[in-house]
Amino acid sequence: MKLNESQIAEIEKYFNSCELTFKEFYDEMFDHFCSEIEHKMNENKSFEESFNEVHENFDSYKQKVRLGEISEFYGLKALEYQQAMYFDRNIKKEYFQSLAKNFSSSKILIWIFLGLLIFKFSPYSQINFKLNSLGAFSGGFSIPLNIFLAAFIIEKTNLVEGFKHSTLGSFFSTKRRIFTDFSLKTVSVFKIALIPISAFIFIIQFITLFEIQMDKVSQSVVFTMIILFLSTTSNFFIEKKILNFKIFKA
Amino acid sequence: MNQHLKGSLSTIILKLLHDNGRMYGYEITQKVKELTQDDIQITEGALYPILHKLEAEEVLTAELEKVDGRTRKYYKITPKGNAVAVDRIAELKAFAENLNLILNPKLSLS
Repeated sequence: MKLNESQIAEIEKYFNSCELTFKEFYDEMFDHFCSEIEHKMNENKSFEESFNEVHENFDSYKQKVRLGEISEFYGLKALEYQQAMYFDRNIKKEYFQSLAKNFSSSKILIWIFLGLLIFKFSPYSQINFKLNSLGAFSGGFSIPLNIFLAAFIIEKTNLVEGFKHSTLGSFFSTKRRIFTDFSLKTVSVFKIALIPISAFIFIIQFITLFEIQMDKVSQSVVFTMIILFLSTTSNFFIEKKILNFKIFKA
Repeated sequence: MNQHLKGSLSTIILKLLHDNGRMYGYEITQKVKELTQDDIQITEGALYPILHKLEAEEVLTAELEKVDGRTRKYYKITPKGNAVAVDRIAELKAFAENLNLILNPKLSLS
């Protein structure tokens, strides 16, 4: 038996009340609900009875979270949160593994060589950073960003949910609902990319704020590290098929 | 039944996907029910976390397809996951055989 429009609307209403984030997850669960309800209705149960049975099955599911005043998610939201955590955990692990490979394999010779090249050919014997208004202004943005990211990395919470339930998140969407078409994997990879970007901003901030003078040694170390992070991150994006460069495909 | 099922559920899912190519979540619960004649009923709260975990570990990959106006998510085993699946299925089989030996000790003839 196929569901009619008002029955589908009923299920949609329940789903919207769950405040889900990812379209991918929404679609999967929506299909599951409809399939199971249709199956139950074929066994001569009413729509209401079938619907209640199915969502009671899901509602019993719990997941502990740490998002301000929220300590637990229930039902579909809990399942979704857990799925995002699985992706985050795996992507994070793989990313740090690919970073570590730069130091543990023969690749390290390339980076040492690059560092020596920068040391030898840098046109400046000393770079003096001066604190200007632009630096102070961007610092205003980067410091909260870094605190936010640090909370994500240390606390192992989910960045998207954290944002959604933060003051900033509720400012962006009145219903506290951000619904994204991006896949869970894509979001996890982008979150990882925020780490080197924020580290980069932090280093620049640190240097300008304390007006540090960079001699040739620190120039070669800092620039080599920046190139290392950028190349690992972009490689990771390509590996995860987030960025598709046509050049590499040809 | 449930407490015995917990540890082997991911292997059961891998075995089903290994045999059937690609399946979606609800199909898996129905298949298990059918094969065990309603003895084993996998709950959604147990099934989806395992599917999602295996997908995140790249043991499984997902394909989205429009069916009856709804988007259905099919799972299948990746080439990388194939070796994992074969290993785990063999392990579970060996375990089941050993369990059988303990539960039904054969009388020796001598």
